[in-house]
Amino acid sequence: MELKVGMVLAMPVTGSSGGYATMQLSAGGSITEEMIAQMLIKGIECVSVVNQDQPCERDYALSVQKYESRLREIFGPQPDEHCLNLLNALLTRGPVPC
Amino acid sequence: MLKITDLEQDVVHLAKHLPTFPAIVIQLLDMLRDESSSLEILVRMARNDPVISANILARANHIRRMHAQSDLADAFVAASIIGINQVRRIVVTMGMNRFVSSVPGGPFLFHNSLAVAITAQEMAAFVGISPDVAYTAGMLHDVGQLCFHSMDETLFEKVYMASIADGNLLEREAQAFGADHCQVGAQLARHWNLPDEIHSAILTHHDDNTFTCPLQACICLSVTVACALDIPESPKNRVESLNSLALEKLGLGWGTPAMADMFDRCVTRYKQMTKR
Repeated sequence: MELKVGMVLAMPVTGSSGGYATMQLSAGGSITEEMIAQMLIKGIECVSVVNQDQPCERDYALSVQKYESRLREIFGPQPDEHCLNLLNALLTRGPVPC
Repeated sequence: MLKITDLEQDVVHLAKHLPTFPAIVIQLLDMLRDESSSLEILVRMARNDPVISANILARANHIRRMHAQSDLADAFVAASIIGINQVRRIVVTMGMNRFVSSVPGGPFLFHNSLAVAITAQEMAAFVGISPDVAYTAGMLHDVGQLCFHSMDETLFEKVYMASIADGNLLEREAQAFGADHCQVGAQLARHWNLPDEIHSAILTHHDDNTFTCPLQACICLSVTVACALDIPESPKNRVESLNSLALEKLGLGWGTPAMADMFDRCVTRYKQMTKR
């Protein structure tokens, strides 16, 4: 989704130029037009924002089911210990709400 | 050529049948070694290329329009707005896209390389390596497959599909073509005089028991993570092993909120870039 003024950052954002950190935005801050322009200038293509729309429960449950089944297909029936750690992290995270 | 018998000589021969690797990307890779390389030199090279110039202008004009400013037509001014890192990324992505687009199997290879490049760039931020170099190495990691596409497209597809069942892609490639795509890609990288660390990352990106340098570890893990994230979506995506040594040396753990955020950014950025 497009970033819009008024959205709230869910994770901190760090921008850099020439190897130096030149922008630091904290989680919980509201996004302004100037912040969006600065992020574009610093080449930040993606940030996490708080999802303020309540998703439809049924649709969300279906997308989780589809996501988990696809992950199990990718990792196979018996992933080893290291793969299992990655699989569990992805299962905990849930589908990406693009 | 039916089979590779002398890797060095045969890859030189095969490289002649591939499209010319864009000179601008090789120049850029040379410049990546020098962190202080100037934007001016890079733009001087890029402005001779209409596609790259157009992309630089489009990015800068997007920012100017937000401030109700008129569009620019000068690539240098545009580049100074978006900065050297974005210009580098545009040059590598456009150069690689052009390089592979005329080869059979090129579009999938490009999308897969883009997914690994984005993942490597995001991961680089966690492990203290240059995100630009990680992005470039990610774009180039599977370049060896181009040779197999040009040697025998049908045979390569057969080898690839068969390897999904048992995960033995490299063994099957070596059996069919005389060398695997990591060996061929690394030799191509040598032929093109690419930096040593990129050569090493290409050579061992499927080796789950090796750690040579942080960049190699980052690319190796990025290949696995892109596959796990199903980018690009493909029935071929399988995760059967993972380089735990690389994970340990880089000090990464999957279960943190920052890592979950990284997974989200990789998927979102990949989808954004491929929908354009």
